[in-house]
Amino acid sequence: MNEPALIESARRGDLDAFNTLVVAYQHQVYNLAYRIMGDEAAAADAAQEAFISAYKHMAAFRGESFKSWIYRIVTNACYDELRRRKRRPAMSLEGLVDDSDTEIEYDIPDGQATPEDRAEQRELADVIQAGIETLPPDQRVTLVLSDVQGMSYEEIATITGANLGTVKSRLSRARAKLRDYLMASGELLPGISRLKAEQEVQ
Amino acid sequence: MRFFGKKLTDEQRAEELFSPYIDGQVTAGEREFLERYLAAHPDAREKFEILKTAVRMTRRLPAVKAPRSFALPRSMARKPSLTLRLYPAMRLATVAAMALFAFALVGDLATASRLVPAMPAAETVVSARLTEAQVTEVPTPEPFGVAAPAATPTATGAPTALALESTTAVTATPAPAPAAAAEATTVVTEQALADVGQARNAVEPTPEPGPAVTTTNTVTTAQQIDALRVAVFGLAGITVVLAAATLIVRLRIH
Repeated sequence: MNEPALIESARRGDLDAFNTLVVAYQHQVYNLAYRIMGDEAAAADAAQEAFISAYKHMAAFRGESFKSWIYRIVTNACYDELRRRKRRPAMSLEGLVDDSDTEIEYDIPDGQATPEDRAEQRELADVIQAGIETLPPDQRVTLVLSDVQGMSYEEIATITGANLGTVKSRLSRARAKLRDYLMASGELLPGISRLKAEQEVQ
Repeated sequence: MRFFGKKLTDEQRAEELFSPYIDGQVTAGEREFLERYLAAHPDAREKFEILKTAVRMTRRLPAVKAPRSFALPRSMARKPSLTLRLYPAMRLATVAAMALFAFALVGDLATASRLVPAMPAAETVVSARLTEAQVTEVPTPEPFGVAAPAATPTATGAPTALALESTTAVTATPAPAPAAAAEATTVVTEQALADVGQARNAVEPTPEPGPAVTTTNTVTTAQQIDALRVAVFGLAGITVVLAAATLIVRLRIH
C-alpha cells in the first residue's frame, strides 16, 4: 500500500483511495474505540464517525502520520461520547437484552493454545477491560494508547494534545489504579504465577 | 522532590517512577534512585513487580476485530473542491500564457531589429514635410530588451537623421533655437505620421517609387509593431496574474 499516494488521492476526494485507508486501519481504530468505550455498539459508532469525519476533513490533513491523525479523531469521538454519557446518564437498552450469545471476536492466534487457555485468556481480557472502564477518561485513553495500542509517550502527547509530563503522570496513575483493581478482583495472582513460570522457563 | 507543588516522600517518589521506569522513560538519576530504593524496600519491590505484571497482561490483551467494514458508501463520495478541480486547468493556462508571451516577445524583438536598417530610406521623404512644430518630445514605445534611445540634440543646426526603432524615422529640420533643439528628441507624432502619408501622396506621381514605397511599408510595419507590443503587454499581464493565482492555489492545496 502506497500510503502517501492514497492520502493524496483521498485529499482530492477519491473515495476508493480513502476506503483503502479505511480497510487498512479499521481494526486498529475499532480496537482503540472498543477499549475506551467498553461496548461494541459505541465503539462501532465512534469508529464510523471518525472515518466519516476524516473523509470530510481530508483536505485539512497536513502530512503528519495518518495513523496518529485517525487515532486523534476517534479518541475525540470517544471523549465526546463519554462526556455525553456523563451529562445524561441513561439506562442502556443493551443492558436489558440478553447478549450472552453475542461474543466479541478476539484476534487470538491459534498457536498451541488449548480451548481452556483460550477461555482463560478471554476471561482475563474481560476483567482487564472492566478495570480499564473504571478509570477516568483521560487516564483511560492514555493507558489504552500506551499499553493496548503500543504508542510512545510522544505519540500519545500528539494524539491527546497533552504535554509529555501530563502523559507520564496520567499513565502512572492509570496503571496503579488498574493494578489495584486487578489485585482486588484476584485476577493478578494467576497472572503473576504464570508469568513467573514463564520467566523461570526462559 | 516536588510533584505538582507537593513535596513527595521517597516512597511516593518511587511509586511515581514505577511506570516510566517500565517504559525506560527515566533519567539516569531517577533510575539510580529507584533501583537503590527497591533494593532496600522489599515491599516496594513487590508492588513494583505486581505493576509490571499488570502492564504485561494489559499489553497482551487480544486485539478486537471490527464487527463490520467501515468503508464509506459510494453515496458519500464528495466532489473535489472547486479549487482542486481548477488547479490543473490553471497550471496549463499559465504555461500556455508564458509560451505565448515568450513567442510574442521574440517576435517583437525580431521585428524591431529588422526595421532599424530600413529607417534611412524613410527619412529622406519624411524630413521634407516635417516642420519644427511637428517635432515633439512624445515618447515612443520601446521594444522590450532594447534600450531607449538617448535624447539626441540637434543643436548643430545641421539636419540630423534619427532612426526611431519602433515607428519611423525622421530628420528634424534645423532648429532655430539651439536651446530648444538641444532637448528635442525627434519622435514622430500621429500628426507627423499623417504627414508621412501626405508625403507619400506627393511622391506618388513621380516615376521614382523607391522612397515612397519604403515609407508606406514603414508606417504599416509601425502599426503592426504597435499591435504586437500591445499583445506582449497584455500577455505579460495575463501571465503574471495566472502565475500568481496558480501559486496561491498550490499553496492552499499543499
